[in-house]
Amino acid sequence: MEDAIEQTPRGLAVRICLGLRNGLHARPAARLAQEAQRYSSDIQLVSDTGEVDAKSMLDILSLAPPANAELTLLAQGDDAREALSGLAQFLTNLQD
Amino acid sequence: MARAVLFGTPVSPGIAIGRVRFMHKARQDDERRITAAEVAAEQETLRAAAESVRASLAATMENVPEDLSEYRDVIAAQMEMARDPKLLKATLARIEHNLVCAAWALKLTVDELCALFRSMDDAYLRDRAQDIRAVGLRLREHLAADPSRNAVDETPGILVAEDLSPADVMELNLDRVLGILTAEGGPTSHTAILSRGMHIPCLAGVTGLMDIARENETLVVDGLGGSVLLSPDEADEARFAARREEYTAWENLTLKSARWPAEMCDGVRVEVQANLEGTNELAALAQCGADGVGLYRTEFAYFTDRLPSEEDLLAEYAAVTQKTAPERVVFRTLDVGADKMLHAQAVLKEPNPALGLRGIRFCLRHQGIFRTQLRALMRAGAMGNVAIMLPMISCLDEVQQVRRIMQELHQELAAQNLPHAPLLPLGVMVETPAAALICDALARECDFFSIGTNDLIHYIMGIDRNNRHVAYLNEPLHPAVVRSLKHIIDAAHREGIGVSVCGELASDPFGLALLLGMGVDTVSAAPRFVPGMKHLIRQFNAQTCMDLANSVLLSTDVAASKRMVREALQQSLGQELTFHTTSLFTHSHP
Repeated sequence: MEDAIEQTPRGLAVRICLGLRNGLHARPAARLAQEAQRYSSDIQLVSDTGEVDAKSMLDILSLAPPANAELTLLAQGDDAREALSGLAQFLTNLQD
Repeated sequence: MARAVLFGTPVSPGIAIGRVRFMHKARQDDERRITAAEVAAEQETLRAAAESVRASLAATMENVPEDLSEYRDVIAAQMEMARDPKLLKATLARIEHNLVCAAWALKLTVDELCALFRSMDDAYLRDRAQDIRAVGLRLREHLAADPSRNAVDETPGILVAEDLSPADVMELNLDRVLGILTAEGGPTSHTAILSRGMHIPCLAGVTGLMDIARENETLVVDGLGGSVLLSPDEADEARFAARREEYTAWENLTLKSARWPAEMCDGVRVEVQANLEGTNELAALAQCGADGVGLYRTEFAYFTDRLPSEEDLLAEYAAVTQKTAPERVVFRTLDVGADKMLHAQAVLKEPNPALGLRGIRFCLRHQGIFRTQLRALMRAGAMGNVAIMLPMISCLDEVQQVRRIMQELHQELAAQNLPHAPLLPLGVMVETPAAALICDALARECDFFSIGTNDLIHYIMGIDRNNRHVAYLNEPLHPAVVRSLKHIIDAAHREGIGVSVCGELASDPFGLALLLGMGVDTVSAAPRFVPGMKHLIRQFNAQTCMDLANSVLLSTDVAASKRMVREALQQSLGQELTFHTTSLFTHSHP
C-alpha cells in the first residue's frame, strides 16, 4: 500500500478500485466515515462525478460511487500518510 | 379544540381512548431567534445533543432482539449520521450566520438534506431521506429535553408521531401505549407489524394529524373504522368504551375458537389460511389457527442491496415450511417488476410497471434469479408440505416452461445429491383477464388456482392502482368482476382442481359470503383476520351464501348488488358485522 501513495499539489493521494458489488451503500459508507474520523487530516474522496468529505457518511452516500468505480483518496494533514494507507486498506478489504 | 374527526388507514384493529403523547417532542415554539452572544451556547447544546443521541442509540442497539438484526444496521447508520460533519457543520454554521436557535437551524439543515436525497435518481438513496429525518427528529427531541420534561409522564397514552423508525419502536415501553397514530406509513410499515403483534390499535397515514393533535389532549382511536375522534365529549367516551368492551370480548371469543375448523351451519367446511409477508410473521401463524399458509410472499428477501443466495433462500423457506408442517405452505414465486428491484432498475425503466415485465414474465426473462429460487423451494419441499404458485400468468406456455425448468432442476439436484421434492404441486395466480378467459386450459395444466382479487379487479376494470381519480372503479361487485370470479371457480371445479382466494375480498365479510356462495374452497388472509373469518364462517349457511351469489350474479346494477349483500348479512349477523373491516361500503362515521 505504502508505495501507491503519491505526492500531488493537493496533498497525498492514493487511487483505489472499489470492490463492492453494489457500490458504497449505507452500511459501508457509515463504516468508511467512522474509519476516516479516526484521523485528524482532512480527507476527500474523489470520483469521476465529484469530490466529497470522506468523514461524512451523507456526503459519501450522495457521491454514490458505482461498483468497481475508480476512486481517489486525498489527504492533507499531520497523519495524512497513515490515514491514506489505513483507509485504502480498509476500502480494499471491504466486503458486501 | 372542538370535537373533530380525522381519518387514516386502520393497520391494527381495536379501540383506544387516551391522552396524546408525542413520540418526538419537537414543537413549533422551538423556533426562536438568538443574539450573537448566545451563538456559542447554542452550538454547544447541539454538540451535546448529538453526543446524547449517539449514546441513547447505542443503548437501544443493545436491546434489539437477535431475529431483528436488520434493525441493527439501520440504527448503526443512524448513529453515524448523528455525528455526520455534513449535518453538524452545516447546522453549526447556520446557527452563527442566521442567528437562530439550534433546533431551528437543525430543522432547516435536515429539510435541505432530505430534499437533496429525495431528488436522487437511485431509489435506495431516496429512501435514505427517511433515515436523515429520523435522526433529525431525535436530535431535536434531545435539544428540547429540559430537565423538567425529562420526568416522563408514566401514565398510559396514545402515541402520536409523524413516523416511527425501527429505533423508536425498539425504545417504546409498549405497556404504556394504548394506541398508535402516525401521519405517514401504511399497512406494511414496521409500526403496523409491531402494533398488530402487540394488539395495539393503530392507524397509519392519518392526514392532518401533526397539525391538529396537541399533547395531553384526549382522543379516541377507532382502529376498526379507521377514524380518530379529537376532544370527545362524555357521551362519546362512554359509547366508545362500551364498543371497546364488546370488541375485546368478541376478539377473545374468536381467538379462543381459532383452532376449531371453519364449518358452515349446514356442514360445508372451508379452509382458512394465512398470507405471510416474511418469517417475522411466523409467530402470529400459530396463534391465529390458520389451516396452513395460503400465500407466502417471497419478495422481501430481494429488497436488499444484493441478490439472496440459494442458501439464504433455503434457510428462510425451510423455517416457514417446518413451522407450518404438516399443513401446507404455498410459496408465490418472486412477484416483482423492474420497479421494485434495485439492480434491475437502472437497466429497465418502465413507464407502466403494473403492465410491464413483472411476476412470471420477469422470472422467465431473468432465469438465473428464478432458477435459484426454484432450487431453494424444491429443496425446502423435502422438509414439509410445500406448493409453488406462479404470479402474473397470462399464457399456457408460461406454466409449461416452468414445468420444464423444474424438471431440469430436479435432474441437477439429483446429480448433486441434494435432498429435494421432485414433484411439487404447481398452481397459478389468476389475476389477468387473459388467465381468466383461458382458465379451462390453465386448469388442465396445473394443480390449483389462487385468485388474486386485488390485481384481477384492477386489470379487468382497466385502472391504475396508484391513480386515485379512478379509485371509484375499484368495485368488487361490478358484474364483470363477479362473472369472471364465477367463471374461474367453475372452470377449476370442472377440471377437478381447488380454488383459493388470497386477495382483500376474502377478508371482507361481504366478499367472503359471496366467494363461499360461488364455491371457493379455500380463503387466505393476513393472520390478524383469520380468527374473525373462521368465526364468521361458522355462522354462515352454505345455501344462503349460494342464493346470495346467484342473485348477485344475475344483477347488472352494482348498487342493487350492494344492497343485496348488505341485507343478507345484516339479517344473519347483525352486531358482529361492525367488528369486521370492510371496504365494500364506505363507513359513515359519527
